[in-house]
Amino acid sequence: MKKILAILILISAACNAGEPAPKRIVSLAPSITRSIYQLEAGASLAGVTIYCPAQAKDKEKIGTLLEPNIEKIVALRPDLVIATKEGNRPETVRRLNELGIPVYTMESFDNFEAICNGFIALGKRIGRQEQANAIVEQSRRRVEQVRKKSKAHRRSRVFWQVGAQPLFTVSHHSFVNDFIELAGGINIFADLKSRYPQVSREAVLHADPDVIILVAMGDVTENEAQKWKNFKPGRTGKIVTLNNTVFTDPAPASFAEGLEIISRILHE
Amino acid sequence: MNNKIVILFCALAALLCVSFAISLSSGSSSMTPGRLIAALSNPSGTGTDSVIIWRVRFPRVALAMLTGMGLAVCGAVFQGLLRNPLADPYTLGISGGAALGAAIAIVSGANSAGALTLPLAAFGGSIFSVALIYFISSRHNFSTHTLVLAGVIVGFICSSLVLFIFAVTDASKLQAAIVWLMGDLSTASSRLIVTAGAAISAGTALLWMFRQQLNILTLGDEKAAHLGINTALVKKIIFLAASLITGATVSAAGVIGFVGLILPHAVRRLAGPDHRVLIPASALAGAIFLPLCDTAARTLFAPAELPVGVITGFIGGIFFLLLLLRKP
Repeated sequence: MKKILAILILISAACNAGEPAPKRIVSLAPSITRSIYQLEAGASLAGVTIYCPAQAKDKEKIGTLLEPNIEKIVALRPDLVIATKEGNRPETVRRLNELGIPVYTMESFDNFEAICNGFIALGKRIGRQEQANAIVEQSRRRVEQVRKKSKAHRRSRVFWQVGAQPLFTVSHHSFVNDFIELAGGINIFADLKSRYPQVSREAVLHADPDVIILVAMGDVTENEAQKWKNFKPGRTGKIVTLNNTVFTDPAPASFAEGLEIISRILHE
Repeated sequence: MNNKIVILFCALAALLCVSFAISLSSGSSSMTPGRLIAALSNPSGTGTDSVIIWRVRFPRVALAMLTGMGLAVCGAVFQGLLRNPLADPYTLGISGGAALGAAIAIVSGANSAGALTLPLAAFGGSIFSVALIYFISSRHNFSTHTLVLAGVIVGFICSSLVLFIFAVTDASKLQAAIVWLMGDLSTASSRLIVTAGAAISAGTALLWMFRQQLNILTLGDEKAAHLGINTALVKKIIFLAASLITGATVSAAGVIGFVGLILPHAVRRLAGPDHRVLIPASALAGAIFLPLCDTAARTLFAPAELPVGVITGFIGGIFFLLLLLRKP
């Protein structure tokens, strides 16, 4: 009996394992690094990019998202490199594959559901499925709460600005759109074709948003808020500057946190 | 004179070896001399050091040598053929066409489809601009200034189309295109290096065969015709051979500026304008210069890498200004 039990345990362990959990992971994007820490796998990180979050400051640096140092990656002898489809170049992934290094590529996400599924898949790949499931479940609950609350409110029209010169915004092809939609707002540029479309100031004025949300990134600063104050939406509506990485981080917990912030902005 | 040239070639050959050795032995991961020698003597090894030297650094150094050689030879030949000191693959619009092809491939997402999509698109783009320049020039019997003018204008059209494409694309894809436009030796596959290398070598050999005709063409179309040269035919062949080289270099390594412009000038100052010397000396100079620039790009801010075009432009430009400061 004991023997059978032992065998059963062994089999189930083997099934759970699938691929063995990687022990030396190289992350090619700051968002991946954050996700790996959230999955409590930070100890398995062998290398990160120069711009990865402070938690990873003692890890070996492998260059930048766009120009990772292939030699440095090889020297770290990783058993898994994790890349993003949107941020990293396909050439990098191909070159690493050529050198026999396994690469796991995260897809780009266009909504909260896709983020959750991607996060669970990542967790599975690095042997942290339980943590991933727990985080996703909790995030879903938080998102659901916000969604329920927002039903009681009028839907305000939102302009989400991610760049100042030129003006960039987001469409429904980006997960960022869900921050607005799930918090009960209307993204004035949701229907544009490109993921991060470029728009003119005139188009923004014409769409007449109630709320302007400025994501502090590069050239979007307080100056931008001042600029909008001269126009009607700026004078009558609300202008908010966000300075938080959760809004650029396609991970479930960050999304939930960001959504709660947006919900407060829209309804309080 | 002959002695001087022998010395020049000996010096260039020695520098080539030095450049190769430096490029192969330096990188972001420092190795002790012992480990370096062990890795160097074991090209098929699977250890990390061997993989780094032979499968990461070597293809990159080889590609830098080939593209440096190709660009310098093209520059030397274009400057002689067009009797214009500013002529190089860039002023002639050929790499502008390649850049347009590559920008379309990156921005449309076709680049993700396969390793050869981007090089093929870049090559297609250069063929497109070459064909356009060729067509316009053929109506003017390949007169020198039509070639230059047509090239410059095709270059302008291509770069405005590239800017147009950039203006209407996602910022996230833009950055990858910009990396490529500044010259990128980091990701070429070995198959691509072999293909591009074959095209560059064949083109260079063809140009070398026309070294005498090139010398005569520098006297001007009319005199060359009097000396029994079929100027239009020779120009066509030379133009197409140089375009082949440019297309191959740009598709394998992106747009790398200044090498084709500066190196032939520097070589001309040292060795004179005779294409019998100028072509091989420029080839060697390019094969020395670009791997060194790329090594600097790889190591200066390691682990971050600079685009090699930044180094070639900066170091090359300063070096050239120093040459100009010297009285002739």
